[in-house]
Amino acid sequence: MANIEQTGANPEAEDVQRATTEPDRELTLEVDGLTKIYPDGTLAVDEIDFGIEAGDFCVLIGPSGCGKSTTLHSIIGNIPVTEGQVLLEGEDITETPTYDRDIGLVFQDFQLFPHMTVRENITYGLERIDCPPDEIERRVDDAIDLMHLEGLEERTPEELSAGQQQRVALTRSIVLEPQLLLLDEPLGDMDYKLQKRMERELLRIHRELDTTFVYVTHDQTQAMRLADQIVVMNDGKVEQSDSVENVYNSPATAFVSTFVGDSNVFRGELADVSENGEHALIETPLGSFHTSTENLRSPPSSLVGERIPFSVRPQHIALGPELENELECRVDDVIHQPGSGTKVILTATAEDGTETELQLKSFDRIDPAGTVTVSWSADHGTLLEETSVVDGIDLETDVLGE
Amino acid sequence: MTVTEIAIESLQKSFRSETVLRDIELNVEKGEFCVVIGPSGCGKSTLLKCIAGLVDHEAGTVTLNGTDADELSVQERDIGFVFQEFEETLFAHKTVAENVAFGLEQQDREFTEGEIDDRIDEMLSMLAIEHTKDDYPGELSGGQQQRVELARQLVRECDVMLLDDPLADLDYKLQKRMELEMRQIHRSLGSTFIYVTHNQDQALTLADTLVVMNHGKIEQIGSPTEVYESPATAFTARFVGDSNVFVADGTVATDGDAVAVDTSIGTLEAVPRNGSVSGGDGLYLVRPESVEIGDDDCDTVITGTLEGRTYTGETTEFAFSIDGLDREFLAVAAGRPDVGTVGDDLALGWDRTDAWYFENISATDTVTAADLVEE
Amino acid sequence: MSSKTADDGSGVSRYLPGDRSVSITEVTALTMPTVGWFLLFLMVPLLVVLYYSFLTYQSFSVVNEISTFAWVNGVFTSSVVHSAFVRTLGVAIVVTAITLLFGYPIGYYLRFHTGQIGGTILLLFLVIPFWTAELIRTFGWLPILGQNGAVNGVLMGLGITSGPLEWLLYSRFSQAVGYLQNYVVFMAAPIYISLSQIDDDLLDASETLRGDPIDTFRNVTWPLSKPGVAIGCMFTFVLTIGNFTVPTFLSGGSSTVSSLIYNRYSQGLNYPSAAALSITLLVVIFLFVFVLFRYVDITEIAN
Repeated sequence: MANIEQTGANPEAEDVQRATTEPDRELTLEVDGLTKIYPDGTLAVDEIDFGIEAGDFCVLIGPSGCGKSTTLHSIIGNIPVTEGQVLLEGEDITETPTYDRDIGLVFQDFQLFPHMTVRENITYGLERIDCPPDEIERRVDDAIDLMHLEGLEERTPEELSAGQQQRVALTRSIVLEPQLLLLDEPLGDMDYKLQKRMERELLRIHRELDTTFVYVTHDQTQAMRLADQIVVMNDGKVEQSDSVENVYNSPATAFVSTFVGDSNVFRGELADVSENGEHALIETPLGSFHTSTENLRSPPSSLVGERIPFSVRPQHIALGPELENELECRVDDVIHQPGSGTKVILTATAEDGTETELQLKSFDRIDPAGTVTVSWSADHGTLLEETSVVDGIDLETDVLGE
Repeated sequence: MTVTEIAIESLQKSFRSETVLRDIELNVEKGEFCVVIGPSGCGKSTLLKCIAGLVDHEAGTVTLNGTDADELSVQERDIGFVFQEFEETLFAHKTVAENVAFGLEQQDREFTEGEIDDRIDEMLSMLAIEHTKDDYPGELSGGQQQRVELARQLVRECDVMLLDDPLADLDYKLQKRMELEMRQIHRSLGSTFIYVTHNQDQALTLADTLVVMNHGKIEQIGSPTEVYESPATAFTARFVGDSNVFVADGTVATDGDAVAVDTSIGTLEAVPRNGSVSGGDGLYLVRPESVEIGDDDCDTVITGTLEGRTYTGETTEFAFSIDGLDREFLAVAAGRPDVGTVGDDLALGWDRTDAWYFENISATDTVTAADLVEE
Repeated sequence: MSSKTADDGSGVSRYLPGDRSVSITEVTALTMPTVGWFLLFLMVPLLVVLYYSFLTYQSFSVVNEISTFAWVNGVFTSSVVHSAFVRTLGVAIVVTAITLLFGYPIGYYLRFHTGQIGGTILLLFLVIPFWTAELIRTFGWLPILGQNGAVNGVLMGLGITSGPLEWLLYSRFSQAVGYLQNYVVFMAAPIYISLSQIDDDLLDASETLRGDPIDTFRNVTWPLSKPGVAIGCMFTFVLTIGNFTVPTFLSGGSSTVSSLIYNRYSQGLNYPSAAALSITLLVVIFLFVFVLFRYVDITEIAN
């Protein structure tokens, strides 16, 4: 039921609650200073820390090569860890062999045992933990019922569709009632429509089971649809580990802002802070803009004179000069997305001739052309103290995983 | 004036006893970006292969720029083809530049060294991979490899480009980036693109014309807006975009423009689409974004219990349970509205003009309304 | 993904020219030499052998007269033949079992515990003996296992045994060693290929379902390697039955069917009888392979 608590009616009250750690909620998984260096010298994961609360649906995201797979494999225990600890329910399992960890894993390509029927696949784990036959019977029947697999019990995996295979893979793991269930891009190879349906199915199962899920994906929209908590990784480090709301609305770094959802990132010098400290003025090559200081970690006045990025979400940029921050742009492309409005690709040119690409999102059907003025309110400008926890990255290419 | 580049008439194709394409009629204009979508096995990839000449059709004609394609060999067709499985198609022992040059060397025209270099540079920079010019495919990321394959096909400047889900294997962010690039490339080349995908978001973003296929037949051809807002069949409405659907049990009352149909959750009103209303097998459908939460002034109002919500930044999706419905009922709203807490009973309303009632289920007769609910 | 289903399936077809009639003639043309070779050098000689088995044998010469004498006297009613068949099949079964016992770990080691280079080198070591003729390889055991051979020399030199071990050569032991050396590669290679088809993730799947390494081997690795085991057993079994050099030079003189065939013609030019025995052996081997493939689907190895 964690899903509900987090997305409750009063988001602001929740933000406060989130910020101060709740001592009464138990951590199912703790990753503490985890480091993994492969024999060839590659530093895949660099001293990362995060915790996952019991019953949460946690999604691990990041561009390819960010270390999310290595993290996953360290939690399962099929690669030796270079340094650090993995704790399950407070118990150090760093050295425990995989088959003694109370952790389930669902693979992207299912990995059902091809020589066993659906029922045998599901029974497999229960037989390994020496479950009495009548209990096996009961638990398997319950799981088949929960996952709507009735009638498929005697089929072999190759007689199933992709969606059914993934349901069997999931059933085979959850029938063991593990303390933690890891899912490694389980919907990656599926058709768009099937993915959408399986997402809803996963949410339903998570609600009914109350098991802790850790889900790995590169698809940030999927992450947002599924997660209670998101861990954003980049280049072997954790950029942010927080609730969906906070990751989207209070990103810790410019990387998070760009990677999770679309973002327009500007860079400039913080020139001035308003008297109440709630707004700041940023001077960029494209002009001066007012932003909110709410997202800053340090006192705004201490940052005056520093170069600092800020971001504006495409849906907060409006056509026309009505709002505080104005910018003149050239319209490059207008993409009508029936059902969700219009996306406009814009280019703004600075005095020195450098061009910046912007995106604007409207929920209505609009048809701008030529040169337009767009604007956004100061409250929708989110200041980001850091570009990334990784030094010297090129945001553009890093987000794409290249 | 528009010029027809590809004309397909009553095309038929089967593999062994299974018919994969039936009565395909499709005209693609010069310079058009045509996207074919449909569930797996609907025949969309086979259609591409028929156009390219990689498989034979048994009936009907494919006309390319006025010439019957049967008279042209694969090489004579001047068609570029990009596959989804790009790793198999790049030459591992050649550099990126050499791979792209290979595309040019296969052309009838002779190019000078300088011309080849210029065109390679131009194409690589258009796809933002100019820095990989001297690398080997094995050293590149998946996204870069796919762009090399694209460059190799695009550099030939064929009149027609066929693309079989070329972005499917890329990471989400890269896919989104490449969608924008793809529009740009299409515009600057002026070639005719036929693009196959199962990803309807991508289809809606890319297409001038959308072709929806199911069971080897075309369900609808139209602009993305037409297809989304005026679907020809219940299948199209269900396949493109999200929807809440209810099977109508046959009792239909007509009242002027509107009809009222009996479903498992009660009587619902809608405007009938495409064809007569006779009270046969029917499907009632309403899009999640048409549902107003907490609004009981609408034509149709039902009560649902809020089960969960999913915030995606731009929008929030709400899932409800409703008496008499064994599935979730979805509603979508912009931003992060405060509609209530989980467990609350809320009014869900929509106007009959925003809902649809179809008795025309699919171009294939054997598809029933119940099939579409299951999908 | 969507493009892969319900299409024509074969990945190669899209690279072939569209015109099917062209590709059929190409395929036919390409297989013709092989088919011709088999017809000319396998089927025709076999028919000749079959024909000979129905000729009559009279004191060191073959009479061109059709009879079933060779079949009735030389095969069906001969107790020497019966016991040779029983012995041959018995030896083949034991040899297959021993070879499996040694071959499986080699295949397993190659698959799971060697890198690319290590695996290649190990395979090379297994193949190197095959650069020598089988006869030479078999003879090679004589100076090693013989009374004055290397093994006995070392054992006596170290004082472990006082006299030479008699059972080393011309015994069941030397026979087993000879077969093992000849056939362990035929067993290990298909098992290695079969094991290579198993995705590492499948073994991880078993471990995350609480299967310890022994459980995982018993329930996942072993059943999935069965096609390779079947092919390896088939090779070893068939080759053992037909082998001539090992029973001739390393056994203590007990005859197998193949040595019997050799004797029939070399010691009396009894071609009809040798031919009948050859055909019988062929039928027995064929039946064995047929029965084996009814129970194990070796096509799985190709997936």
